[in-house]
Amino acid sequence: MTGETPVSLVSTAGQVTVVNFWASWCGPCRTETPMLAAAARELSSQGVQFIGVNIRDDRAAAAAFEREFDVPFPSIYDREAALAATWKVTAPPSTFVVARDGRVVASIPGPIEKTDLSCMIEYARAGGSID
Amino acid sequence: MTESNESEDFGAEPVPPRAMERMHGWRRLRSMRTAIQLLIAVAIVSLLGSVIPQRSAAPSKVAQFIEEHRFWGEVFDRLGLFQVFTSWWFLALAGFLLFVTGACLIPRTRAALSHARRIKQAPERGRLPDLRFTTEVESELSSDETVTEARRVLGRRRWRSSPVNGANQWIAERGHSRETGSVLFHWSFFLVALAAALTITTKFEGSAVVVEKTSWVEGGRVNFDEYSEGAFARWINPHAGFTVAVEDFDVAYGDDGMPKSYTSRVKILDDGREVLEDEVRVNKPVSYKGVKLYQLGYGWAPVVRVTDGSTVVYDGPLVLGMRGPNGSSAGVIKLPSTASGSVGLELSLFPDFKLVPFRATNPDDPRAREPGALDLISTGDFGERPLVVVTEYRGDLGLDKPQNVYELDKTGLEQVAQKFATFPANANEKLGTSTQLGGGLNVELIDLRRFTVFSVKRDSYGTPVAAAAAAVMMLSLYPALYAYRRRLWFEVVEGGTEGVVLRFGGVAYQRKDIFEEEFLRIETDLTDALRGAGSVAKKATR
Amino acid sequence: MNRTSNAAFVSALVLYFVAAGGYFGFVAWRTRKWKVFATAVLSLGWALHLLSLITRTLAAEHAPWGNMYEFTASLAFVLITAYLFVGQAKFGLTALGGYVAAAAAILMSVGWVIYADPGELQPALRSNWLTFHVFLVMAGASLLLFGAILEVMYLVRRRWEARHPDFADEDTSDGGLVSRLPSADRLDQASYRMIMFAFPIWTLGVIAGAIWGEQAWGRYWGWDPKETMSFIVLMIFAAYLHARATQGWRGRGAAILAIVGGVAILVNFYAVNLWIAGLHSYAGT
Repeated sequence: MTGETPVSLVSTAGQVTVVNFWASWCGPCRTETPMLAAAARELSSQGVQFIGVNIRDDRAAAAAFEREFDVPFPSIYDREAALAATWKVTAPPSTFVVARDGRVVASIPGPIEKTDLSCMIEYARAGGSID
Repeated sequence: MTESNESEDFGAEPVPPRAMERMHGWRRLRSMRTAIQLLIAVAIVSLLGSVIPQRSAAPSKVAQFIEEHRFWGEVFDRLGLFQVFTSWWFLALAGFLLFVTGACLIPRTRAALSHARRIKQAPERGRLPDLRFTTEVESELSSDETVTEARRVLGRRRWRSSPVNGANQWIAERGHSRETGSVLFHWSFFLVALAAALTITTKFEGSAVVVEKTSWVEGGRVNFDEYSEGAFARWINPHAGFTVAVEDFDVAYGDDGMPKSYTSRVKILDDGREVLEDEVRVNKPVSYKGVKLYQLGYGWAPVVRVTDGSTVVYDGPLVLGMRGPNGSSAGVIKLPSTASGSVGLELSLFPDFKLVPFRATNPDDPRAREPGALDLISTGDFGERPLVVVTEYRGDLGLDKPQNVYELDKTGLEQVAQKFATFPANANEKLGTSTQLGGGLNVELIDLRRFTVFSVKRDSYGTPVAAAAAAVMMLSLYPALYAYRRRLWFEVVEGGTEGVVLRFGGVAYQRKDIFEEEFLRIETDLTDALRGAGSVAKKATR
Repeated sequence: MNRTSNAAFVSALVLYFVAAGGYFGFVAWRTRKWKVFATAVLSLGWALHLLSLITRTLAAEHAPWGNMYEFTASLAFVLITAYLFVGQAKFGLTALGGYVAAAAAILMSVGWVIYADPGELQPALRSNWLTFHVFLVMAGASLLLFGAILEVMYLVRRRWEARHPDFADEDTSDGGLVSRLPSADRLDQASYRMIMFAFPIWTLGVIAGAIWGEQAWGRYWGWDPKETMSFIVLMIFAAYLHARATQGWRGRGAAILAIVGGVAILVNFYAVNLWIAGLHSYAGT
């Protein structure tokens, strides 16, 4: 996991980025994380970046979760869910897709399916519009 | 029928009972009878909400009721009897009562406003109306002076007076504040309804659990443990985004061991800068940027470190839920992937533990037959002799199913060990601060902390409007009940020994028993003034 | 301090019973001696009752309405105060003294059964608004109850007057208890005045409760069973005040409303505390 000072999400500009809010105590997160981990590995070479935000969690428990699912992408430790609140997340899991220009083009509250994720990523790659 | 000698008028025209039977439509709607019937109906409907358990006040009782009376529980639920005060029929009834009140108030308000500008003329002109109280006072003054003097005396008693058109008569009046008060009092119900509507549609409220020495952010729904908001809350009462750091939490106990007061010392940080340092107590909320923090509850949150071999798998405060008297509480740590498999830990805290002889509540309990069996209890919630019982469960945690974060689903689990430990500050030879479990798992107790529960609310408009409604109510209710409208007519005629006589009569529209005395006092005053003043005037001219 | 309070309380209770006997003696024989005796005993009881409340306040270090015993003691005190200084001194309703004294004594006996030593107040109860709120609802409730009792007597007397047109005057009597009551007109007047006086107090009490609720729990109204019952009491007495001014409701209808309101007050103070759970349930300890 990355440090407690949030990685500036601005650094993601220029790349399509998937932002996933999660917690080790959250049941649906356990369901979707293997898929997200696989997708992150598959798409890293194609210029799609994944960032996790761990919210309202015990740090050691979160690290154990990442080890359990062998999560390849870094996560921001957001214990107070301050960052999550600015993203208007209501509960974990919650996933956002950010286009190259930094605009959030899609958000899915609740567990995400593989097909939806691919679809959203395609959409973001197209610049957030369908040509 | 006993005829009461008080006849109140709340603005409705007196209607003989027979005619009442024939009243229809609008007039009937605006009649006092309708108002009484609606008030009684509201009372009866509210009674249902008091007798039948309500979801808002006691959700567990509602569940129990439905469980016990399956059929009727279902029927009651369908009829909305478990949430009477938000049911459509209650709101319809209340709305209808408001509508009827409004229908009465509009003409009354118009009349009251026009009346405030000038006294309405009596229909009788040219002669004094047929009054219950009439009298004559001889005057030593000229007729003009008599009128001036009479008006002055009445004015001192706060009577307004004006000449009756065309006739050589005067009319005086007092007690108009009754009608003003009554109209305002009834209008205040609309303010109450507005306040309720604002609160329901624009307020957000939730609860937040914060452990001592940690902080919490008022950012949005995600930060709350329980949360609800009105439909327009996000625009009208948005979240303020500040941080609440709980420095510490204190409970003060009375002589009887019951908590006397509990206090959260908080610092509020906005944009990283400390803006406020205060204490949140019961009855003393802290407010910042329109958001109010109320002290709701508290509990224990021991700081625990769990290691799996050399890897730390849990390291922080664990929030415990209340399980028994005197602060006995418990919480769980779920470890789905330790080196030795999936483990569930249950930590039970006894803040001031004591071992007592076991007393079976159930005769079938095998321990009841065991000689010298002991039971662990807590004798207080002070945290002076804390003991933690760590129970180790192995098996399937069932994490693929939705479950409670604060409890273990024990269907797929088996208890394998139970160990005791305490905290560094309370360590003794018998009780260490850490305990070794199976598979290289170790639980270490670091610190005993408390957590505090805040109720967090923002209702920037509903509450002030409700306060305004309450103020209007209290200011208008006394005049509406106690002031009473009464009139005097007077004229100056020739006669008596001095040549000038002031004839006057009066009537009270309410509280006639009091008016009788007042009328006599006015007569005395006028007599004194018209005679006394006259003699003084005569002396002066002499 | 607390022992003084308890001794004074029990003495007052006994004296109220004696005074009730004295007032009934006055009703039966109509001699001045009985009236002077009853008034003296009742006044002495009242003074001891006051002493009991003051010492209780000193012992408990909070206003004497922190639990149901204290509340009942204060309620009875307001009732006797209202009777002595308004009912008897102002309206001359001496014929009612026996009933009021007996009602207060019975209330206090119930209070003695649920006696509890003075204790620390729960944190939620430590508030000036609460003290104010409870004082107002207690005073308002006891005076409304007084009004309701007067309305019961009014109904009884009214029926009697209808049957005995010859005896309708207050100074005639057929020897029965009812014939010794004040006239229906006077009872009607007295109860109306009492309720008119008490209604704003109760209203203000409910408002003070809402303010306290806002401070303690963050909401000014929540339809908690106690709040609901208080609201019902407000509705019923509001209906009463309107009924007083309405043909067909004046007299009997209004009286029945006031009596129902009185019953609602008793239910609110005792039944809701003991059997219905809610935020006010700590009032039951």
